[in-house]
Amino acid sequence: MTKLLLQCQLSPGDIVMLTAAVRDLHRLHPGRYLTDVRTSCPELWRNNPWITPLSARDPEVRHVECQYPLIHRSNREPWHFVHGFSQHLTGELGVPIHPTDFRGDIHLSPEEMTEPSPVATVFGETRPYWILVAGGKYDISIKWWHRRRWQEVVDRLRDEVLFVQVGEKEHFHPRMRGVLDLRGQTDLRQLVRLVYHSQGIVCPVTSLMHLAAAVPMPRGRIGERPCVVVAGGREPVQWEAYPWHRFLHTIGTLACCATGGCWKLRSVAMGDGHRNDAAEHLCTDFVPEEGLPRCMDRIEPLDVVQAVRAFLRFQSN
Amino acid sequence: MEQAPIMTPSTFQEFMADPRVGRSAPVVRYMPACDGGPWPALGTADPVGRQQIEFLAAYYHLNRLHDRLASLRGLGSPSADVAGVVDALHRAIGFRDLLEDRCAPVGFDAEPEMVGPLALNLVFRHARKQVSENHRRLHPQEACVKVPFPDSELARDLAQFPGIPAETILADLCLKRGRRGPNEPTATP
Repeated sequence: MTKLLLQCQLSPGDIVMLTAAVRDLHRLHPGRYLTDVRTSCPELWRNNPWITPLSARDPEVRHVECQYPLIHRSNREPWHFVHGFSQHLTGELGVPIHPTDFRGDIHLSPEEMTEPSPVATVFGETRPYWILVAGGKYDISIKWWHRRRWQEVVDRLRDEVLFVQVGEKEHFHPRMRGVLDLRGQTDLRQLVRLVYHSQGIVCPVTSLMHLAAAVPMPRGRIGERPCVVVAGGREPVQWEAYPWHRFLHTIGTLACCATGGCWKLRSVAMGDGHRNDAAEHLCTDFVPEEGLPRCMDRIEPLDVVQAVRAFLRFQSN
Repeated sequence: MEQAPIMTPSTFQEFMADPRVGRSAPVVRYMPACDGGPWPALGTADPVGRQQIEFLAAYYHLNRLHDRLASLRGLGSPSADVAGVVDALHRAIGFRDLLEDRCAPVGFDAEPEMVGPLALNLVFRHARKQVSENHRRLHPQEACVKVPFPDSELARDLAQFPGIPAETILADLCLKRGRRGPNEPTATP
């Protein structure tokens, strides 16, 4: 069997998608490969049945730096992110790999599934909740929606949804009122458990939307895990969205994203010396009075509220 | 409790102005800490420091007004006096929100740590706080350091592998020989 050491130091959302490629490699070519990984998020590989511990020094081990160059064709061709790593691996290994499922591949141990959720631990009892991500990383600020708009979503749904706000402590996640604040309090594995027990997720384009799809549903729950994504016009819909999510976008309705995602990085320059401050990476249609790119300005809190309510109606039936 | 009449900022500019500048000294107990420490230097030219001062000034005024309100209520003051401070508080909160909104696109955020109605500390988040981390992720840094080799045998081995970082070769050689790596602490007896 060929021994593979797959390496990738990209962000958590990327690693979630890499889990899909590893699953598909094994499903399509059973018994041909032994795979281990060295990635930025080892927590996402815990309990993964496709992983075999391999030594990086083993001369029989082939090292593969995993990438997804397919993204450069994402505006022109009908590919989803789930194709990204598997298409690259196909080229590297010379064997055909294609998605066998429309999601990443995150595994929980039986103990993780039966342990009370972090929210149940806080309240001392099980309560239904949705996860809220009201911010993001500094390097791609163009994905952010306005804090007042997130707050309006929380306020309008106050009597219907308990929101649990998450986010990395060092990233930009303004505090919301009327939520359970778990920002900076969950490591990646706790986040996986939080997703597992959640009723749904509301977020910008971020790793949580991929976890929403990749984390299995608790036994007895029907359908898929709801997710409302405030996306705007940065990413092509077909590349990023899952069919059962509500992906609120503006592709085709603004000049800057008339035929696809703009793939810009920042709304405005941040003055931190980061290369993403370069003019070619900045939004070309920023609305100063709203503090948002026009594509994000076009999405109203009520759009998000209605999308959440559509899922709530389904869940209550 | 502060009993004397207090000046309340009537404009956004007054609200954000450094309270250390002016005829009267600020009341220290209303000054929240800046990331757990002292305020940036008066008149600092550093853009982050200047922005921090605006938020610190905002919460300074909010602290004063909240304390004033508590004081008036505690004294059973006339409702007109209380209403005046409530109005001033509403205006101040509006200014604070305006400041937050103005800073939102660049991700500059001040989160108060409250004790009761008073903000005792502001925790700041901004892109420059992240800059070293971001650059470490996106632009790997390389450095060359000249170190004397511990023995001539190692030096000979290293000479056979031009262009490979010394740390890598040293680590490999030490592992092969069952020695500790070059960056590992010496074994304790």
